Amino acid sequence: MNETGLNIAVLVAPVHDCRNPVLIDPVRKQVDPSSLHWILNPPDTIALEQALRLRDRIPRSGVRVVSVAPPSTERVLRECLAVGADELARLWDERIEEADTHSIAALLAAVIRSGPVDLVLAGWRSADMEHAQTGSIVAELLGFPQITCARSVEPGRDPAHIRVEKRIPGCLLAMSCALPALVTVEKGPPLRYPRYSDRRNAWRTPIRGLDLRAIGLTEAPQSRLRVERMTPPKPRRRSAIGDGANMPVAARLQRIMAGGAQAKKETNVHRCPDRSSTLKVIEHILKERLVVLPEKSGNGR
Amino acid sequence: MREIWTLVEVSGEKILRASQEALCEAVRQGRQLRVRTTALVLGSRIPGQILERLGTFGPDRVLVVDNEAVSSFSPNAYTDALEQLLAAHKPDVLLMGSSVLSREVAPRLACRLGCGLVTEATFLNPQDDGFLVTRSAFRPHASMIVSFQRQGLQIITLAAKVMDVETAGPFSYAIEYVTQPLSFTSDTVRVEDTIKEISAHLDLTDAEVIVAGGRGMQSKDHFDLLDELAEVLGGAVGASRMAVDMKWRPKECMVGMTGKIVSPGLYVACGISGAIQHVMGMQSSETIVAINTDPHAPIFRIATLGIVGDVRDVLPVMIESFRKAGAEAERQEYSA
Repeated sequence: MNETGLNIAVLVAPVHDCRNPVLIDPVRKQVDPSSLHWILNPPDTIALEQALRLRDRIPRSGVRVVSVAPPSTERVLRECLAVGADELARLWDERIEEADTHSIAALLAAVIRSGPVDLVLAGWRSADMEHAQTGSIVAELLGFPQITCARSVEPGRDPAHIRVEKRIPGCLLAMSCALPALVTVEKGPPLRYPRYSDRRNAWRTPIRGLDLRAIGLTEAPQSRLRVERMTPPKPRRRSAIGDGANMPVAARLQRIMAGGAQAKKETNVHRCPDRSSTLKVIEHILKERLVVLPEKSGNGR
Repeated sequence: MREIWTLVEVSGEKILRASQEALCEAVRQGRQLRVRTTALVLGSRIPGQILERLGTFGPDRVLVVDNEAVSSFSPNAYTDALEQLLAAHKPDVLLMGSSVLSREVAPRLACRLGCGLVTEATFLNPQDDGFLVTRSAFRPHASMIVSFQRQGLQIITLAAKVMDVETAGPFSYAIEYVTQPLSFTSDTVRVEDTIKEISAHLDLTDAEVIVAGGRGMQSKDHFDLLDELAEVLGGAVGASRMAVDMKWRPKECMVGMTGKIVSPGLYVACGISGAIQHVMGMQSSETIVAINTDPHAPIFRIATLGIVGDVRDVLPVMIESFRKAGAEAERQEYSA
């Protein structure tokens, strides 16, 4: 902890908004980049909000946003400046196109090291890939203690500590940690909405893109994993357990054709509201293990 | 491949469900590939019956680390202990279930040991020197197949509830205690206080099972049925706008565009017609079971399973059957 307040670095990633579909190139078996709809990673925005709140409470603090992201995502990254981040460091190089989580984390750590830092905040995982690794690896590489999946981050009992709340099954833990440290954030208040004038100013702020040379590397860190191929998911399974479920395919087809699309839609609707139909549904739920019946606590043998 | 390890997490007298799934998958792969499987347990004074129960899953060996440092929730100590064990024993694969602990331990371990890590795996495809791992990406729009680029240890955490748990037996297995001295690095992360026990009242967005009621519930009293079903299934109770407007349920329970947007594994819609505002809030649920008296209700268009009937008739049957099934599962556990 130094006398100039808290230097906070926030790891932010632009991710694909998974409410929109992605296209997968059937030949290359990779995602078609033009189908990606970029947004700020929602858990990262919560981390950014926590950082901004800490800055508001601790005088002379600064928030620096660090991201490894291609130039095409600069538009969404500007949002971080609009809400009040003091600096945005965006690193990209053609050579890191196929980088895995570990190499990205190594690059982030290198960028963070290039400036003073007391606290690193990040979302607990990315909303598109859901690796949930980057934060922990960055902490290891920087040699910082870490707390993952926090619910709130607050100033600690003295300036050299922070106080973090974290939920584990059954209870909420109040934890403390000496600075410098890294905290990944799971939940919290949503990111503030920028004023129009701030947003307009953010548009005019030039962003300096960093490349590998700028952080003193000659080549990208070696990837430990490789994505062999991407595939579209299997279609949503609709299980028919009503009458006609065990019908031969031809007969079922015939019935669907006779009844049109409506009949098809209703194949899995059970029309006899008696005990046996309910039992069938329950049997199906249990068989497909849709529920894990909770174990009764306190019945140790 | 010579050896697959599985990290098993134990809390009190229970084996974490996710760890059971990981161990069973390890045993299945191990049998098929004819490699040795090891269940690794860390803790202090682990009850003997837990070790015996681990044996019923079928690993060749149960390896126990008995150490005060790993007795409570401490990712740092776990990481230190595992780092030293893995470096000394050099297994080819380490499997873990998805849990609060493994989420932090796995990446730290992979970073320290310089090996690859795939999280939330849904399928393991054995190759000559390890696994080709399938996991979801851009959920729910794609899945990806990932290979490891380095020789040596592969760390994989499995997504929850994708692998079957099966116990059979009796199997022969050996229980070994680790005698290797372990050193632990100091850590400034401290648990100052355990703030509150979160009650059975689950947060809607976290719940894996949601039982929701709408106008078809007909009165506030019938929501007791939902409470009961939710309790049996270990889930939370939701409500449609109608039920909230009628003051049958507090506003926090509302599922839909103006309420909470949820995506549980199982969503039971009771007496909910399926207005688009409600559907927006729950359509990404994995399985939707709808109960409604009107066979033309729009909810049946998105339902995976539908029952045309009155919730007051159907729900008691459901509660009773699930209760019975739960008791049975417990009984089997006792005999295992």
